Amino acid sequence: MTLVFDRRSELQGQPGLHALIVGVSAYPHLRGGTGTPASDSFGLQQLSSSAMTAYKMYQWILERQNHLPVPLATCRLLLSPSQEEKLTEPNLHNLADPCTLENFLAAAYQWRDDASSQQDNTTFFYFVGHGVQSSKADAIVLLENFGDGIGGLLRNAVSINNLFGGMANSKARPHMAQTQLYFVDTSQFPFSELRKLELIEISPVFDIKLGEYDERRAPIFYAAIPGSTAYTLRESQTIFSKALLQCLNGEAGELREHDGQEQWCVSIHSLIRALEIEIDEWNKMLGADQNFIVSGLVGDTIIHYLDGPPLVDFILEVVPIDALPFTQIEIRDSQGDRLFGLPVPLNPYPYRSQLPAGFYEISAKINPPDQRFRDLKPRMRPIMPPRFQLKVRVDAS
Amino acid sequence: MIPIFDERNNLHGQPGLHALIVGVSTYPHLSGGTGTPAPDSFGMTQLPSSVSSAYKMYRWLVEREQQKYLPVPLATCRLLLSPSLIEVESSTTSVDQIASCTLDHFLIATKQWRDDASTHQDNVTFFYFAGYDLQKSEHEQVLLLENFGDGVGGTLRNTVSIYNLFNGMARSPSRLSMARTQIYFIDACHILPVHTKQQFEQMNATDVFDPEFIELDDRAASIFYAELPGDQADPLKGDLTLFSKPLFDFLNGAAGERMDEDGQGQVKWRVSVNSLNKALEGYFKELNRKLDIHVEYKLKRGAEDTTISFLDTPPPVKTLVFNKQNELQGQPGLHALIVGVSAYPHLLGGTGKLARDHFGMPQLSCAALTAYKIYCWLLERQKDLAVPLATCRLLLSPSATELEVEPKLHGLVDRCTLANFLTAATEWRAEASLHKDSIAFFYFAGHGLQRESGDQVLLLENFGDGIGGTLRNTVEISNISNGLAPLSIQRDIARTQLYFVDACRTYSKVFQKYEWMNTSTVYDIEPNVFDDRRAPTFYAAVPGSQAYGIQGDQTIFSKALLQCLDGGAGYLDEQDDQWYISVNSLNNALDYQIRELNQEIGAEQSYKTIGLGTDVIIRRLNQPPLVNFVLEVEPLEALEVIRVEITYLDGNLKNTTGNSFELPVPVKPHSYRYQLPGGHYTITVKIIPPDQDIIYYKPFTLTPTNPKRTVKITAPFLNGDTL
Repeated sequence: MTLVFDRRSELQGQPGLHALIVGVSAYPHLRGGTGTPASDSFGLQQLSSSAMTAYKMYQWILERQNHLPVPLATCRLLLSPSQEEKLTEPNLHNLADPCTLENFLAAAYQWRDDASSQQDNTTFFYFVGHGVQSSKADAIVLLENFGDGIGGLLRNAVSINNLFGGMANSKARPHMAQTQLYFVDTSQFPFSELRKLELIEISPVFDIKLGEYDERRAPIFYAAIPGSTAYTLRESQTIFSKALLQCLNGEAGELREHDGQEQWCVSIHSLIRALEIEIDEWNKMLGADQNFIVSGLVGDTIIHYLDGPPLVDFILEVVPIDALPFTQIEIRDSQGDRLFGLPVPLNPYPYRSQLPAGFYEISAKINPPDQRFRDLKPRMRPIMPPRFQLKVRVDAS
Repeated sequence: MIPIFDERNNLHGQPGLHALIVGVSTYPHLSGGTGTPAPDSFGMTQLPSSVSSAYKMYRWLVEREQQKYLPVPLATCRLLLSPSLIEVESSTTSVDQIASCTLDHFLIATKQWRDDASTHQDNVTFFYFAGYDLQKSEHEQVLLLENFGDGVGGTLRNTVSIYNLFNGMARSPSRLSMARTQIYFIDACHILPVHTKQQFEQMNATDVFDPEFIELDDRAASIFYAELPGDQADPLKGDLTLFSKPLFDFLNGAAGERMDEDGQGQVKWRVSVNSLNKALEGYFKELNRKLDIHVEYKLKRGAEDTTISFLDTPPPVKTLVFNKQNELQGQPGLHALIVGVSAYPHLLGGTGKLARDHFGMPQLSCAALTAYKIYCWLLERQKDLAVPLATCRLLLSPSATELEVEPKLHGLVDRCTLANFLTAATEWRAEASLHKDSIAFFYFAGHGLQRESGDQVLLLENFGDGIGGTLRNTVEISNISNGLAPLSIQRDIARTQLYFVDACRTYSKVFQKYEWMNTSTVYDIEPNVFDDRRAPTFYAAVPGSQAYGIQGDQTIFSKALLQCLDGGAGYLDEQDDQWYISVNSLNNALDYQIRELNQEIGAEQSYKTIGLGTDVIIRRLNQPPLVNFVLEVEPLEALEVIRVEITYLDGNLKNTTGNSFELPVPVKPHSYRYQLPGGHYTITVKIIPPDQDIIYYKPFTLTPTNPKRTVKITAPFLNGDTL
């Protein structure tokens, strides 16, 4: 079973979001797998949390199905979970078909058919598993039966460029969804062995028509830059997906006004901006060096509506640090009503807390007065996602 | 008179080049001379550098002969020099031992020169004159020889007519084997004796040759004519004449052009009449503009192009228009390569032979001007960039219209042929490879094509010249950007790279005719590279679409881009209270600005970016950007009963007494538009009367891409209720 969510009948031809989510942790023919070892496995082994990551993406899209710019219409899911993942999350048992080449091709064709019913549709593609870099301009993702010994080396692999190109408008599909989101949550390691082959044949997902006008807003978010690793939290989920979900849930929130109505939402642009900060936080926390890149056709559009102002991390420091024991910081709302005072001295330091996104008045009083320092007059500041960091300057000079 | 150079015997009757070179600095009978003053000197004085230039021309010919670069071997060279005392003293050669340029000497020399020239029709003649000339009549100039004004005979006795000299060198029944290729350089200080014009027209210069019947003048003869007004001393005050300085540069290669490959696949370079003319035209237009002088330069005749000299190497490429590397002493900097191609000789409407596969593409109207504007912007903002501007390379192939609109484009830089592009791209990469913290900046405006999904082919000036494959004179943007990856040969290459491709991405059925069409390779690409660059590519067109331009102005994309870079893409960093423009803010703002421009001028410009990710600052703004703030009130009935106050939270506003101002009551015009600095504001709305009850209060951040606020007043307040 691949089609795990189907609301097409209910939508009665209205535009909707069509998702294809793929997670491959178990590769039988790679090291540690259950099948015949691949003749050339390039040192790749089993993955610990790809299927779980894909499952979490699926859950998120289900939860937020009514907060997307168009309602969720279909979701196709292909999962090849590891034993550990199945133990951790029993729902992974038989929830979806495994991600073999045949299943992937079938799912991709059905997904494309659905996507091409309306230009106002949105597509959502998420792949998490092994990936390699075939050239500077392309990424290849490896499906479950990679290395099964049948056919060429990359028969059970597909090219993201091919998938992307096949989802463009064409004479045969003039109503293709014009908003398409791609997330490729894989490492981007080059296979030096591939250089030894005269021609690398990858299974084509789609035939691509040349010369079509392509105005899609269709960013491809790659979790790793060429030649680098996408990291994962063992048996939990990938760093990229964790950061992505944080962003989609509010850290990439922005306030937009439409017809006089303000609405908190996440757009492609705000997502790009916030992902950098979130991934950077994870890098610092784990000592990793993951770096994402966005390719494809990057244009802006809203991708998710938030329920209200998201909670924003705000971080305060006092400058100079000598003033810390005397600095009383006060936060008021935008109407000037006092919300709370912060502990003196700030604890923890730097002080970190959360506030709903919005405008706040921040002031600081030196108590008892000290010639070296001065009060910070109240000043209205926007505390907006993904972070608000402020150095409260109280030096007398 | 014995030629100073004579190889006639060794040539055994083979065709050769016969030169006559004349330089007159000293005119004894003109002011400052040693002889009896001329009855009418027309205000002329001694000349400082005619002999130096003439002698250098002789040396140039001899050197070219030694290098075998002349189209035919140098057979004879006759030299007549009338040097000034300074030239005699400063010269390492005995220029005073060479025959002076009196009328007699000139007549003898020209006779012998013509005799030599007429021995073989494949001979080439070369004539150079530096000295004074006089405008005898509307169509006739005469060259003044050393003993002009000696008081013997008529006023113009010691002058010769160029017309007479030139016509006397034509093929005639008595000289059927006259050299068919003839090149003349008149490097003259020009006198226009207005007050005696009528008298002058009746005066006679000395005939050099008797006029003969010319049945058919089929010479490939060109006269390069440059006149510096005689009342202006050499404004550059150099040791050579104003004309000969650029002339030597251009002859030595700066006017070089590529020739077809020979049988062995070797490419030859040459300076031809046309390439030299093109270079001189551009040079003097720019010089006149720069120095506010009027040097008259023209090529007379010159219908048939001929080789003047071959070159051993491609001409030095003049693309580096800004170089501050020494000053930066190894510090990171921004290295720019900017290219604008409007003139495509081999496309529709071009001056060359139409390309076999021209893809229906015409000349462009504003690509070179666009590139120039981008260059000017970089120069203006060089200190506000994230790293200082270190180098800028510029290649322009402007159209005639663009040259009229912006005369500075004349001869500013080299044209964007494939050879020039490859040279510039190689040097650009080498400089960008010196420091990881540098920024590489690439801008291309011109024609573009798309062979397959995702690629972008950039067409250079000589696209379609018929040499090699159709796409030989094109490059592919991904080859350029991939070539600037941190390859093993350039580990320290700039990690921030900005690519702007202001070109169409249209697909043509022509591509279906061939199995594959290769572009030229700019760089070899290494596989398997860890690529940690921030290197977005901003495309002015989506696949299958066109990029639009405003004729004689600039492209829509570049207009939007410069608006963004000038503040439209500004964002406020709350942490340090500073406005910046970053890659991501530029991407957001370009989307917005292009939409706005499309609406304004009814265009359909699209735009897409690839390669975004980690953000990076491009420039810092010195002040908040100005934003065209728009305020609307809903419903419209509320306009009559409300007073709106705008308060700037980040400082004081210009044209107000403090940091706030009130809008007229009722708000008029509606929508209300006002230019405000970007930053934090509040809108306060009070109901009137009694004028003190706040019914709406909202803080907001005003940014260039978010300039509009709508105040919605709910119904109860319209009925007189208060908050």
